[in-house]
Amino acid sequence: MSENNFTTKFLKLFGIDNQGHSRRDHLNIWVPLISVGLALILGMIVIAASGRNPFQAYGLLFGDSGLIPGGPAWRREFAELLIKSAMYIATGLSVALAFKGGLFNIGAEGQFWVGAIVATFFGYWSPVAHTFGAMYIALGSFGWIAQLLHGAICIIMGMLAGGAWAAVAGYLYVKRGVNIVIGTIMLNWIAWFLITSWLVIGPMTPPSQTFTSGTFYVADTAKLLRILMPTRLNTSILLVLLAAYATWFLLYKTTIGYEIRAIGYTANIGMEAPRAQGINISRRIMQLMFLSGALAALGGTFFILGMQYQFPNTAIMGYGWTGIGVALIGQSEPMGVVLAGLFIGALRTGATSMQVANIPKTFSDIIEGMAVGFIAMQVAVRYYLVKIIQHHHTRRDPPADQEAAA
Amino acid sequence: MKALEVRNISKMFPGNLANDNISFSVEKGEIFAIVGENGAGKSTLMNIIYGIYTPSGGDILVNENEVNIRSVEDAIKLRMGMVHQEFMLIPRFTVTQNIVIGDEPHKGIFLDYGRAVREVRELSERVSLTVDATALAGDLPVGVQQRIEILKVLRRGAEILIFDEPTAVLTPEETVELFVTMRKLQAEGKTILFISHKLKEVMEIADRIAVLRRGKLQGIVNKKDTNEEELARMMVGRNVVLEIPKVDVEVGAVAFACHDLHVRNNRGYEAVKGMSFDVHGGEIVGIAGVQGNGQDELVNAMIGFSHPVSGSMELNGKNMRMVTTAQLRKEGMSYITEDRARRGLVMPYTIRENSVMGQHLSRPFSKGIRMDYDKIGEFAEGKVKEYDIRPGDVYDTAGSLSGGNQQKLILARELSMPHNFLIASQPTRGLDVGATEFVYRKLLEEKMAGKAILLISLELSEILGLSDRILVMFEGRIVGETTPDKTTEEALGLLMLGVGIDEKVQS
Amino acid sequence: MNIVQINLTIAQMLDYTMPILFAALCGVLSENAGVVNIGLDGIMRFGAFFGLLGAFFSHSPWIGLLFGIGIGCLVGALHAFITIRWNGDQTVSGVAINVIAVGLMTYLLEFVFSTTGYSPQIENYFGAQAYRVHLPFLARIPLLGAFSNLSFMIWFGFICTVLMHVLLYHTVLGLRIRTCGENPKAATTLGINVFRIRWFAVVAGAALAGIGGATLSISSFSGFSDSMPNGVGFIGLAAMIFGKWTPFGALGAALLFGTGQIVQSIIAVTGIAPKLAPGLTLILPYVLTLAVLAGFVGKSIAPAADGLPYYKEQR
Repeated sequence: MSENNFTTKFLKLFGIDNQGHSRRDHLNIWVPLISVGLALILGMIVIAASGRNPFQAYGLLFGDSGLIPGGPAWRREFAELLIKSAMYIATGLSVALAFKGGLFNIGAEGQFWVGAIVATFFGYWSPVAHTFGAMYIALGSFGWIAQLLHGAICIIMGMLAGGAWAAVAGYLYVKRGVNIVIGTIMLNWIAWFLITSWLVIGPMTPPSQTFTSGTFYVADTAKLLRILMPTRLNTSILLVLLAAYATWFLLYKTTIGYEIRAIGYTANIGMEAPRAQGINISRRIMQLMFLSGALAALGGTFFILGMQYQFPNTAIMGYGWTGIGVALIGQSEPMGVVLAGLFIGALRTGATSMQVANIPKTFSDIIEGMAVGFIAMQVAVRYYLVKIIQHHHTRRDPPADQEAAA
Repeated sequence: MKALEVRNISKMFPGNLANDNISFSVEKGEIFAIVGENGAGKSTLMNIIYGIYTPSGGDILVNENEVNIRSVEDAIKLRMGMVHQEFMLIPRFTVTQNIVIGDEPHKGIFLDYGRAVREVRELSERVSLTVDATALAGDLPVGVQQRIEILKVLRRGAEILIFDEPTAVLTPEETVELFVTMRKLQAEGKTILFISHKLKEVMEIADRIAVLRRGKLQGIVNKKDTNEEELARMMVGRNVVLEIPKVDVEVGAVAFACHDLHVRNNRGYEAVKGMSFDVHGGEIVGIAGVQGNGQDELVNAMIGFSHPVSGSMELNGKNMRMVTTAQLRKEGMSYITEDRARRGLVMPYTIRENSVMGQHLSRPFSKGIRMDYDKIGEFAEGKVKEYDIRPGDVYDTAGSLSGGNQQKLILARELSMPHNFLIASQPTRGLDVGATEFVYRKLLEEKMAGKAILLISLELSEILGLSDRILVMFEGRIVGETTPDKTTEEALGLLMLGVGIDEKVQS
Repeated sequence: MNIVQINLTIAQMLDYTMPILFAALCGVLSENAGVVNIGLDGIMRFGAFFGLLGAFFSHSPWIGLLFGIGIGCLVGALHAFITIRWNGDQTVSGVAINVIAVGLMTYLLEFVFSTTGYSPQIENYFGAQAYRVHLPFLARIPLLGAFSNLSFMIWFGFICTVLMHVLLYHTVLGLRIRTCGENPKAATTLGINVFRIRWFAVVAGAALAGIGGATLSISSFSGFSDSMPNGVGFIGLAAMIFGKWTPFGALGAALLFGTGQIVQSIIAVTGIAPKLAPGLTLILPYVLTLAVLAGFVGKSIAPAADGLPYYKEQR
C-alpha cells in the first residue's frame, strides 16, 4: 500500500499517488493510443494501395526516427528528433493548457512566430547584442554566462510577446464576445503576414541584400548552447521539458491551475459553479491565454535561437498546427503532450528516410492528420471501446442527475 | 364525445413516481385545466400525452379510440398541438416564416412567400388572433409571440391544444387577450388543456379542473362547484412532517438587508419588483413561494451574479449592490444551491477538490500560488466523516455521488467557510428523508451559532418547520409576512398562489 | 493609367476574388445550417489538386471541375460523418482535414507526377484563351471591359452566389436549412430532419470549397502548386464572417479582400504609395473581420445555433 519507496515518490511527482488514484476517466489513455494505432494501420493501407511495401516503409520510418538506438546515423537522428520535438511539445503545451481551461487556442501558430521574430530582434539588436558580446569577452572562460543571459533575454521577450498576442484574443473574447477560435485564427494570419510580408523583408533585413535570405543574424551570444556534439542538438529540449513540468505544476499544484481546470470543466455549462465560488473567470481566462501564447512563443524562440539563427524568408507554417494535433493526441496532459510531441517528432524525422522506399516525406503529416481525425471522433471510439469492454465499472447508485428529476 | 381520455397513466423515473395511476377524460370543446404544485407531475403528464415521454403504464384514447403515441409526430397526426412554456421561435425570422416552417406553401422548390403570408393572415383573421405577418418574431412582445405559437399548432390542424403554463410570461393584459383567444377556439370546437398553478386564472377560464398532488390525481371539479380556496387546499394538503425541534436563539444584529430591490431576469423583464426585508443573526427567515415568482432572480442578485436595477442591498451594513461574488463571500456570504450540477459543484472534480472551492486561496489550503493538496485531502477526509458522505473516498468525483451526498458535500464546503449569512436555496431538493433530516440539523446548528439564514424553499412544511419568520413571495413581491405559529400550510399555500391578496404589502 | 490597364486590373482582382468567394460560400451554406467548417482551407487544397488531376489526364478543364466537385463532396462527407453522425468537435474535425490535406496532397503530387513543388502545367485550363468567355463588345468600355475576357470560373462564382442566395432565401429547403442553424430543437418539433439537412449543407458546401480550390489550379493558374491554397480558405472564412453569413455579403467581402490581395500590383501599376509594405494590406481581411466581430463595425450575427452539436432529444 503506502510504501514510501522511490516508485511511489516518482509517481507522486506526477500526481499519481498511492492507490494509483485517478478516478477520472480511465478510458483517457486508450483514446489516443487507439487513434494513433488506427492511423498507423490506415497509413499502411495507403502505402500498400500505392504499390509500395508498408513494412519496409515503416521500418525506415521508425528505424531512422531517432527513437531506436543503433545504426550509424543514430546520434544525428536522435538530435533531429529532439530538436523538432522540442518545438512541437512547446506548441502542444500551449494548446493543451488552453484546452484545460476550456479554450481552443488554434492560433498557436501565430504566437509561435511572434515569439520567433521577437527573439530574433533581441538577438541582433545592437544595444543588447553588443552588451552581451562585451560581457562574453570580459568573462573569458565564463563566457557561457553571457550566452545564457542573452539567450534568456531573447526567450523571455519572445514569450512575453507571444503571450501578449494571445492575450489580445483573450481580451476580445472576454470583453467583446469574439469567438476564441475565430479570434486566434485571425490573429494568426495577421501575425504571419506582418512578420513575413513586412518585418522580415523590410525593417529587419540587412539593407544590402535584395532577395535576401531573411533578417539579420542573431549574435553568437544569443544562440542556444549545443549539447551532444557533433550534432546540432541544443538546449531547447531541456527547456521545453522544464516548461512541460512547469505546466504540469501549474495545472495540478497551483491555485491558478485549480481555477483554470474548474473553468475548463464547466465551460460548456456556463461556468456557474466556479463563479459562485468567487473565481474571477475573466481574469483567469486572460491569464490562461497569456500563458498559452507564451508557451507557443517559446517554441518559436527555439526555431530561431536553436536552428536558424535568423528569421528566414523561407519559413513555412506548421509548428503551431502540429501543436494542435500534439495536444489532442496527448489528451491535453503535459506528460501526454511530451510523449505525443516526441512521437510526431519521430514521425517527421523518420519520414525523410521513407523517401528511399519512394514515399514522400509528408507522409507523417497524413498519419498525424488521421490520428487527429480519429480523436475528433472520440465519441465513436469510446462508444465502441465501451461496447467491447463488456462489464466496465458501473456504480450502484443511479447517476445523480437522474435522481434529481423532480 | 370524449376528445381525450387517459386511463391509469403512470410514469416512473428512477427514484421518483412522477405520475401515479391517473385517469380522466376531457370532452370535446372543453377547457380543461390541470393544476398542482411544482413536482406534482403536471408537465410529465402533458409530455406523455404529447409523445415526448412514454408512459410506464396506462392507455390514452383520442376521440374514443385507443392510440399509441410514441413521438411528437404521432401526437401531431392525432391533431394535438402543444404550446410550450419555452417558445420555439426563431427571432430572426418573420412571423409568417416561423409559422409555416415544415409545412411551407410552395411552387416547386420555391417558397411561395406571398401565399404563405396570405395563409397566415387568413388563419389569423379566422381565429381572431391578430399578428403582423411580416414582422420579425424577435421584435414582438411576448404575448404576441405566444400567438405565433398558437397559430403554428392551429395551422397543422390541431383540434386538441395543450398549453403549458401559458400565462407564466404574460402581462395581465396579455393574459386577458389569451383568454379571449381560448374562448374563440372553444367556440370553434377545439378542446383545450392547460397547465397552470395560477388559481385565479384557472377559475376564470376553465370549465373543469383536475388537481394533481405528488403524482396522484386528487380530484376533478367543475368550476362552478368550487373556488380558489378549495383548489388550494386540494393542491397543498398535508405532507409528511419531519420532526423539526424548535430552537430558540437570541436574535442578533442585522446581517443582510435589502430595500426596494428590483431585479431583472435574463429576458429583460423585472422579476423582483421592490422587495425589502432583512435577516438577523440567529434567525432563519423563510421565503415561501411557487417556482418562477422571482426567487431565482433574487438569489442571483444576492450572490453577485446579476446587479439589481435599483434598490439597495447590504451585508453587515456594507453596501453590496454592485460587487462581485468573491467580495460577497469575503464579507461573509455562503450559498447552498439546489442546482448541484451547474452551480453547486464541479462534477468532474473530486470530493477533495470540490471541498475547498471558495476558500482555496486561503491558508492552509494554499500558500500564495502553491496549493497544498495534502492539507486539502485531510480537510476533505474530515468533512466526509463529519457529514457522512458516502462512499467515503475523497478521490471520487462529485459526479459519481448520489444527489444526497452531493448536497452534503455542498453543505460541508459552504458551512466550513467563514461566513455569517447563509443563503439556502431549496437545500433539500431531490433528497431522501435521511439526507433531508441531516440538512435540517445543520441549518439549526448554524442558527444556534448565530448565523443569519435565508431559506428559500418550495416545500411549505420545510418553511414552517425551520423558519422563525416567513415571507411569502408572489410575482416578485412580498405579499405576506408571518411566523409559523400564526399561520398554516393552507393559508401560506393560498398566499403563494396569489389568492386573497389585499395589497397588504410590507416593508 | 488607361482603360486597358484598369480593366486588366479589375480582371486580375476578380481572379483573386473567386477562390475566396467559393470558400466563403462553403462556409455560408454550412454555417447557416449550424455546422462550422474551418477545414475549408484543406478542402480547397484537395480541390486544387484533384481538379488539376482531372484536367491533366482528360485534357479538359471541365473534367477537372467535376473532380473538384467530387473530392469536395467526399471530404465534406467525412466532416459531416464526424460532426453530425458522431457529434465530434467541429473545430477539431476541421483541423484534422487541414492537416491531412497538407500532407496528402504533397504525397499525391509526388506519387502521381513524381515531382515536388509544382505539378506539370496544363494547356487546357479555364484561364487559357481558348476557354475564356469572350464578350468582345465590352472590351472598349471602362470597368465593364474587365468582363470581356474572363475565365468561366469567375462567371460561375457570380452564378453560384446568386443561386445560393435564391436557395437560402427563396426556397423551402433554404428556409429549413436556416431553421436548423437557428434552432434545431424547434426544427425537430416541426418535423424537420435536422441531421439530413445538415449533411446536405456540409457536403454541398464542401463541394463549393472544392470548386474554389480547383479555381486556383485550373483557372487562375495552370497547374497545382504545393503551396496552394496559400491560406485563401481562411480569407474565405473571414469573408463569410465579414459578409454576415449571407451570399451577397460574402461576395462583397470577397471582392474587398480580393482587391486587398492585389494591392501590390495596383501600387506597381499606379505608382501610389510605393513604400507600403505588402504585409500591411494582406492583413486587411483579418483585421476587418475582427473589427466586425468585436462590434466596432456594425453587429455581426452568426446563425444562433452555429457550431453547437445537436443531440436528438432523448428522454
